[in-house]
Parts: sequence; C-alpha cells; structure tokens
Amino acid sequence: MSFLTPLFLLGGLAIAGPVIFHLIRRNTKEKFTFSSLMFLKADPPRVTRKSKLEDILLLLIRCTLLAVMALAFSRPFFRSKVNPANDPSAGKRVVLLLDTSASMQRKGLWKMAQDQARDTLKELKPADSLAILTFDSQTAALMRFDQWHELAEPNRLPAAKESLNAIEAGWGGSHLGNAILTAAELLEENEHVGPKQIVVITDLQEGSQLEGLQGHDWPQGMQITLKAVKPDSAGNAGLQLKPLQETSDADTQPVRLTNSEDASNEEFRLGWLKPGQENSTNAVSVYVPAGQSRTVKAPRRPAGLDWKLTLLDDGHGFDNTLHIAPLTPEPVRIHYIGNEQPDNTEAMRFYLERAFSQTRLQHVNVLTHPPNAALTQLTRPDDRLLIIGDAIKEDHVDHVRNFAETGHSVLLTLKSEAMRGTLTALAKSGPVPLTEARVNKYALLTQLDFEHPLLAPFNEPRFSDFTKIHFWKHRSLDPARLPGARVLARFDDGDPALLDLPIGRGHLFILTCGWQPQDSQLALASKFVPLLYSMLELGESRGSLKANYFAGDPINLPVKPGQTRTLNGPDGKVEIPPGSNIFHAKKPGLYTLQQTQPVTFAVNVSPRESRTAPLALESLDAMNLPFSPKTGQAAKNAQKREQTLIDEQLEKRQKIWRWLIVVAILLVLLETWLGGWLWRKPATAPEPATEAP
Amino acid sequence: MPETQSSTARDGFIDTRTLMQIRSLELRARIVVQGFWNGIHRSPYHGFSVEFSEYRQYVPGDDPRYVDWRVYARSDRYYIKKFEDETNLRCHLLVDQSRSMTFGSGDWTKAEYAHTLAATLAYFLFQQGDAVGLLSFDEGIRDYLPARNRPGHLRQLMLSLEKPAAGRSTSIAKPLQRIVELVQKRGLMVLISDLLAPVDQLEEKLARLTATGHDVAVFRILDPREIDFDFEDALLFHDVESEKDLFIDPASAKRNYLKRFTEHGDAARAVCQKLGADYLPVTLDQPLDQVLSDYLRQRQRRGKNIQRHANP
Repeated sequence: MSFLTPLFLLGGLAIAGPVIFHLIRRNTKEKFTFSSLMFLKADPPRVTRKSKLEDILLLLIRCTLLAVMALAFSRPFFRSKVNPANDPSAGKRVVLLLDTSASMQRKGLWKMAQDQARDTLKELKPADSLAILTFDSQTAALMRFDQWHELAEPNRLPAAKESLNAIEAGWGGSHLGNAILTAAELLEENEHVGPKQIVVITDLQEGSQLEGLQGHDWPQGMQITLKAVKPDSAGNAGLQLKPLQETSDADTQPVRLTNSEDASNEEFRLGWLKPGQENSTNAVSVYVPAGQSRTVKAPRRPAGLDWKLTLLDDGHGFDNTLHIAPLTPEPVRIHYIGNEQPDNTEAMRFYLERAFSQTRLQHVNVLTHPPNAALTQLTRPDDRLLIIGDAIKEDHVDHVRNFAETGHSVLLTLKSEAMRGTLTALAKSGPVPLTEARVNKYALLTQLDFEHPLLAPFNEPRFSDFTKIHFWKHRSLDPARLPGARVLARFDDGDPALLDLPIGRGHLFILTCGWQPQDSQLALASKFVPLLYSMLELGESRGSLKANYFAGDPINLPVKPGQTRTLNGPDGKVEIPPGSNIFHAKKPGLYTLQQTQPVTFAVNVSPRESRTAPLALESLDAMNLPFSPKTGQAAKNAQKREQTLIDEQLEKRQKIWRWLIVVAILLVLLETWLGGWLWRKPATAPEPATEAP
Repeated sequence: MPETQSSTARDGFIDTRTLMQIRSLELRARIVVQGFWNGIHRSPYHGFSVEFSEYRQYVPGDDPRYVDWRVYARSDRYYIKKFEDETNLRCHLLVDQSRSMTFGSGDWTKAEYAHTLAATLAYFLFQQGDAVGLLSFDEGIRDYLPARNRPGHLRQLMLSLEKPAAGRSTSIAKPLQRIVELVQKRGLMVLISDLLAPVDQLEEKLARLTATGHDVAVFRILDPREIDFDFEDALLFHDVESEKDLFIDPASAKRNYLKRFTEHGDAARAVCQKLGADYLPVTLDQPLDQVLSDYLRQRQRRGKNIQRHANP
C-alpha cells in the first residue's frame, strides 16, 4: 500500500491521547460540592495507581477511529493492483511533431530528423500512445491517437515507422507555433491525466513562426521536448522576388539576396538556368555579407518559359531558385457611347481615352460607338466597362441591361436633361424627372459613401479629400424615384451626384453631371483615373490571382461557375477537388490555370525559410514553454512529478479514503453508543449522598 | 469523633433527626427548651431589682435616690446600694449565613442546624425575659434585629432566621466590627458559624468585642465529613463559596487536610480562650439540648468564677 500524502499518517500519533486519558482517573462526572477548599491543595492529575486501563473497548474504538482517520487523510492506494505498464491510461501520450518545411531540404537534415523520429519511437513503452504530426506552414496528421489504438500492439511501431519512411521534406514555410498549439490541443482532446509529451523534431531555424505560443495556457503535466537537427554545413543564402516597378524594364527583374548570419560564403553568382543546366553563361556576381541582404537586378531573362533565376555558389540549394511567371497583360475593352470628336477637348471622350494608359498588367482599349449603333459587341470576355455619354435608342436598352446583369459595370453620365429618357428606360422603375440644377458659382462633392466598394480605395484621409473638384453644372433628380439605388455622393446643395443602381450581378452607376470642362473639373482631378479604374475592377475579371505565391500558402482560385478548371503544375496536372477554391501549392514552380484566358503564376519557397540561422534560445525562453528538463536534478524532479501524477490517478480511481471515512463514521456512532451506555450504567447503582436535599 | 446523627436519642437527649424534621423553627426551639430548664446565668449588669449586690461610697453625680439612708444614719456616710439585675440580659445572636453553611453531608445542612440552635437559644432566653437580638451575616450584614423583649419580637426573629443562607463567602471581621458599633450596651454575644475563614481576622475583632465588655460565646458548627474527611475516590471538589473546582485525591490529600483543619480549629480555640470567650465546637449530629446544656453548664462555671472574682 502506498500513500499520496503520507505526512498525514503522523496524525495517527493522536492515538496516544485516548490512551493517556483512559489511564488518568479523572472522572469529571463525580463532582462533589464541599463547604470550603481552604484546607485543600490542587492535586495534579495522576495516572491510576494500578496503571490499569479502564473501558478497554471504548479505548480500542477511539484508537481505531483516530488511526482510520489518519489513514484516510493520507489517501492510500494500491500500486500493485494496476500495473501502469499494462494500463493504457497510465502511459504517456506522445505527439511527435516533425518539421517538413523547405529548410529541412538542406543536405543530410531530413535523414537526421528521421533518425531522431525513430529514436523517439524506440523510447516508447507499451503503455504509451503516439500521434505523429508533420508541419510546415500547415500541420497535418500522419497518425492520430485513435489510429494508434486501433492497431494491435505489435503492429503499432512498425506502422508508425512505415508512415515516417513514407514522408519527405516539403517546400512550405515553417509555422512552429501553430504546430505546437495543434499538438497541445490533440493532447487535451480526451481527459488523460497521465504525463503528456510533445517531441518536436525541427531544424529550429530563425524563420520559424512562433506566433500564438506566448501566454498560452499549457495543459497540466505537458512537456515539450525539442530535438533540434543541425546541418553539417552552416550558412545559407536565399533569393526573394521583389515587385517590379512600373517604370522599370520588364526583363530586368529586381530580386533580394539574403545571406544568413552563420554564413561563411559571401560571394555568389546570379543567373538564369534551364532545367538540367548547371552553369549560367550570363551570370552576374553579387557580394552579400553574412546576416545582410542586397537587392540586385537580375540579368536579362532569355526568351522561353522554362528559365529559372538561380543563385549559384550557395551550399544549400533549396531556396536558390526563383520561378518567375511571365507577364501576360490582360486585354480590357471599354466601350463609350457618344457622338464626339476624338480631339474635342470640350468633350468627355477626349479625357476618357487618355485616362487609361497601357500597363504591363492591363492593355486597355477604349472603343467609341455612336449613340445609334447596335450594341451587339458586348459579349467578349474582355468587355469590362460600358460608359454611356449620350442618349441611346430604346432598342439598345436591353443590351445594356444584359451586359450589367452578367456582372459588369455601366456608367451613365447625365450630361444634359436629354438623358432623361435613357435613365428612365435603364432604371425600369417609371419616369424619373431630371432637371438642370441651379448652381451658385460651383458645387462641391459631400457625403461620400466610402463604405461602397467603388469609393473604398479613397477611404483614407490622404485620398478622401474631394473638395478640390468644382462642379459648375449638374442635373438634379429624386433618388426616391430609383428604387434600390444607393447614393454614393451628393453635391453640397443636397442633390445626388453619384448613384449605384444594382442590376443583376452588375452595377449601373449614375453620374448626374459630365466631366467635360463645361460641366466640372472632374476630368482634370487626380480622383478621375482611380475612380474609373475602381469601376473597372468592380466588374468581373479573370480573377484575383497574383503573379507570385509561396509554397504551402493557400491560393484562392477564381470562381467561374459551371467552368471546369485545370491546373498544370511543375509535375504535370494538379487535381483540384471539386467544390474547393483553395489550393495549396506543395512544390515551387510555375502553375498554369487553364481557363478561357490561361493564367500562369509562380510558386516559390517562402523567404522566411532562407533564414536558416538557429533560432535564438532567448526567444523560446521568453515564450515560457513547458520544456522537459535535461539536467540531472531537474530531470529527477520531472520524473518525480510524473510519478506523482500516476499515483494521483491511481488514488483517484481506487478512492480507498471514501471507505475509510465510512468506517470512521461507523466507529463514531459505535463510540457514541458505547460511551452513552457506559455512562448510564453506573447511574443505575445507588448514588452516594453528596448534598442535602 | 462525634457520634452518628441517628444515635443521639438513647442518651436521653432529643433525637436530632426527629427534631430537624419539624418544619417550624419556633416549635423546634420550644421542644428543646421545654425538655430542659432552669437557666442559670448572671447578668454582667448591676441593676436595682431584687437581689442586693454591694455598697459603694457615694460620689457626686450619683442618683441620691439610691443612697441608703439607714447606713447614713448609722455611719454618717453616704453609701449607694447596688443590686444585681437578673432580667435585662441583652443577648445578640450572630448567625453565619454564608454559602459554606449550606453544606451538609447528612439530611440537614449546617445552616439549618445553626438556625435551630439560634432559635433555641433565642427562645430560651426570651422565656427568661431576656432581650434577644439577631445579626445574620455572610460577607456583609444581612439582617439586624436589635435586642428586645417585646411580645412579637421572637416571632420576627424566627422569621428572619428562616431565610435561607445565600451569601457567598464568610467574612467574620465585618459583622463583628459592625456589632461593636451597633451595640453599645454590654451583653452576651453568641457567634454561630463554621469559622471557615482566616483566624487572624477573628482574633482581632473578637478582642474588640470582649474589650467592650461583651460576654462572647462561639458555636462552631461543623459537618462530620469536614472533620474526618472520609472520602474514598478521587473527586472533583467544588467550592460553594468561590465556585472553584479542584481535583482531589483523598488518598494523598486527607492527611494534609486533617492537619490544616485541626490547626485551624486549635487556633480558633486558642483565640477564644485567650479572650475569655466560650468556644463550643458542634457537629451536626449532636443533639441540640445537649449542646444547650453543655453551654449552660460551661456558663454556670464561668458564672461562679465571675462571682468569685466579684466577691473577694
């Protein structure tokens, strides 16, 4: 029998009390009233001359009661009853966390990590349970606790080893913080009271993300064991893509070179390589001191898709390659309906055609149609925006509405009262009166609705000032006549300036003035071009794909209902589960999404992974993680704590103290009854005369 | 060692147990006194009633009524005629009412016995035509009745004696001091108490009493158990006066108790003898008429002594 709180057994010494009290013949019930004590002296309590115990049975009960109480408080339990080795709940729960981030691709590192993992498996006892998690930027379960328990005991370790052998280091970034938190949650899932351990096998590189660990409330009895693996050769340089400047030459890509702090090599070469090629002919040499970074312009890219920008002369090659997606500008067509001369500076067309410049990302083409022209061309996917600058025929109204309903933006500029008919026809909500507003000198824009996606880009103090734009003339209409319309801006005389009338999936924007100089200064203002682009962006485009992603990051593929999506990766076709828009690129390389307009994007190794210098231990200490101690005394203490946890669990299950308390209560009842009986017994004998009646 | 309480009848005295069963204190006193009589006592005063005592030469200021003219005729000198006064004895009964008097190992307590004794004395003296007063006390004075011989006075006295003893401690000094102040005329002072108080107090105050010319008799009422302390088992002794508890094992304490008790009694007796007071230890089982006759006998002897001293 063992005891959880053996010190309470000392309470058993209280047995001496009743023994002494029974030896002392001091029966207080025999009280004698005497005339005066002036001739008497206090007599100390004396043990009976005969040294004979009185009321042996009562004494025995009292002693047993005290002993039982002391025993109950010391919380006894039987260790032999349950062999912790055979008890699954008494064993340790271990989560093996294996780093599969890109930095583990360094030479020899992955093999070391696997060896460490196998060593961890060897340390397991039959009663222990194991779960294996791998982590890079995401955490994935290789083997869960329930899978472990489902297997027969002899098959468990081989299965775990097999699953370990099956995995390889990946290309993602390493989010160590998330991984440890996931492991801790897994350990907490069922109420296991025994010891819990997280074994982390990682290269502990500087670029590991530790967010979320600080101040976490770790479960009781959990310990983290860090098994760091180190490469044979320290130092690493990495490449990072820098965004292209609009003004710069498209063929000279700027890149950032970083060299880790523990690097010994500081001279590198940068050049374009084809797959299988080892040396570049047009490589430039770059000098980057250890722990610093340099931004350099890459050499001119040779023609062809399969060139990769490569950093040469670096020991660890996993982050030395940059895949750069070729820039394919998106063709955009903007239709303008107006009967204006292209060089008339007093007309809106002149300013519109100059608002959209050619960029590397977009090739904007403004097409002007006369008001009576048939609008049948609005079916191409690159038709993005329709601007109505003149009254159109009623036959064409349905074409415009159809265009808007398919998710495009249409801008109706009410440059004169004559536009009333077009407005009424497009709004389809009865006649909308339109009158020329009376403007005293000029009007200004107020009450701009920056919550609306159209004006959201201006929702910053430095962009939100529209008071520099003067409006000489504008038309006045009652927004109540346009059900569903949202007023996005008003003139300072209260008339609405810009309205949004949703039609289908698209928008009809109504501007109650024109931007020709006769009406306003809008075309000359700095807000004009961003406003038009914002309108363009609101319409559906080829999607929000960026040109560059990091391996392991979630990529949100553009939604095209009813359209099959095919993604070609570096290893051929990549399966995209149906109904899912999120794609995790596991491997760096160029990916092409096949749709009406194929989009190519590049996936590269996260630049954080290039920071391979070992993580400063201080930053880990600051997290206050429950690390398992390594030194002799601390390890002993930890073992002691572990044993205490097991003992507590055993004691909790056996609950012997409860029975002891029941016995104690019964003894109290027995003692009370016996004491009462013994007390009454002499009372039946004739009592000697003590006092006068 | 005193006899047991029930064996007193065969000596010709009244059975104390029977006597104590009578409720009326006056009746008890009458029974004791009737079965017995002829008080012989002498007054410490020279009165002018029946019996001639002596002649004294006249000094200016004496009442000329008491000048014996016949002696003047014979001797041509003025002589005053003095008589012994038999009737105007003034007796004060000083009865202890402290709580220690409530103790009694038998059927009656020391207080009840003391009251009966006081009542008997009062009745006896009243019958003789003497004036009887009462002063009951505990730590202070409780009741005071001046010495009188009026009809109804005895009844009042009995009523006062019937009050139960309720005082806390015994303090003899204070009542003795007070009686000295209260009673100017000389007379008989009968102190009925268990004297369970330090003797030195007693000595000082008794000395003042005797110095004033009073005749003093001390009846010390004791329970037989107080005298022989015959307890078997260890007991928790409770002091009625101080309310203290003491655990006493008689086996070891008896010897010491008896020694100290005897010493105290001897000291009290010595004080009384020294001051010329009568000291009568009385146990609760003693017949009252025996006590009374013992006292009277003792007093008679003293009376003769007085007479002898008075008539050289």
